Amino acid sequence: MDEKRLQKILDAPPCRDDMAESVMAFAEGLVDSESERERIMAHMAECDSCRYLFEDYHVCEEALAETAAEDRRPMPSVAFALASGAVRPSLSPYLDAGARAHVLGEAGAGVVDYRLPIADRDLPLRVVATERGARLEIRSADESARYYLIGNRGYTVACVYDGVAVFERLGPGEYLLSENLKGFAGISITD
Amino acid sequence: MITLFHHCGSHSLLPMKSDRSGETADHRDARAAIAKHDAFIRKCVDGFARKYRGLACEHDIDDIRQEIYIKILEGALRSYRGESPVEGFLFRMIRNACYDHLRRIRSHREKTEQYDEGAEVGPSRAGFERELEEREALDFVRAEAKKLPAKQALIFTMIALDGMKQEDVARALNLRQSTVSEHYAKAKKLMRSAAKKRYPDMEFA
Repeated sequence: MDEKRLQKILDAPPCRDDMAESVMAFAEGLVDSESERERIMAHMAECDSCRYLFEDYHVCEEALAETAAEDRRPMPSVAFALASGAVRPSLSPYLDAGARAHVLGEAGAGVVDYRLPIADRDLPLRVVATERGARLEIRSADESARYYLIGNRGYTVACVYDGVAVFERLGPGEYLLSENLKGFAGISITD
Repeated sequence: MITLFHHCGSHSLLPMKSDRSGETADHRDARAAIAKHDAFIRKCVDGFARKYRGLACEHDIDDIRQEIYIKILEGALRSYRGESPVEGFLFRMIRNACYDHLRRIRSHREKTEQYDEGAEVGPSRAGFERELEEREALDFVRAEAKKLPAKQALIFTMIALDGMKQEDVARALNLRQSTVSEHYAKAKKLMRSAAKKRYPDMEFA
């Protein structure tokens, strides 16, 4: 990357006409009206910030195409139901061996253990059925780790105390779990 | 409302800023947006990291990603107007986060270099004059480019001022390279004649 060009990009004042989203629409070929296309092109010729955005989009488009061709793992996800103080997990490759036996042999268990591959490590997740919903326990030796649980309407953060981070009183719904926001796993809870 | 408890002391799910209940669109729901676009976000950040190879290390990339996810969790997608696909909006967010990070790195590096080199050395008089001349020439080119038709002006600016290759400009604007070449040649001709009028004693390449 040309350092001079980078400096120009960093120094460019922000767009005064709030045209960035129109520029992105143009970049994606979504502007049908010729007069609108002309307007956006004329603006880009003058506005450094918008023109650099447009140019960057195409540089990244190449990078995106390259990385899309690379093999990537889908986001790991687990699903379980809560019923009368028991967890009934769906069969999942992330279940611990003992928990898998529960799925195949019994109606449910009080505790289910998973190992979720998040950010290059297997995160040990324990789901405990309680009277007031599910409790998630994540064992971690890293006391500085922060765990994020993201629901449909917000998120919460848990820190590690005595080697475990805990989320409690989880009701039915879709969640994402993350360690330090590096990689995510899906958690689906049903009644 | 789902209620959660955790060991940090906060006892409820933090609502996203300006939470509008009842909205179910993916881009308004941080969880759905991350679940759907996580791969895109990772790929874009990696794309920038490749572009600025040597300027950002693995830790920087992690920091940038975290910054983006925090912004999404804090409700950044609520300012998305829907003119372009949500990926376009995310791309801008990612790009801004990357440049903000690079700005911080460079500022830190400059401070360290200044400290290492001791007293600041100002530009020489000759250097200052050259800079003024360059700025004047640039202002002239920009003013003249404004008089060109929009497409020609944009093509000229991307090639002559931004240093893009004709083939890249053609790809970006979804035009044939021959069309770009034609527009650029016309624009250059007009610019040259304008420059000759303004600076009659000068030679132009």
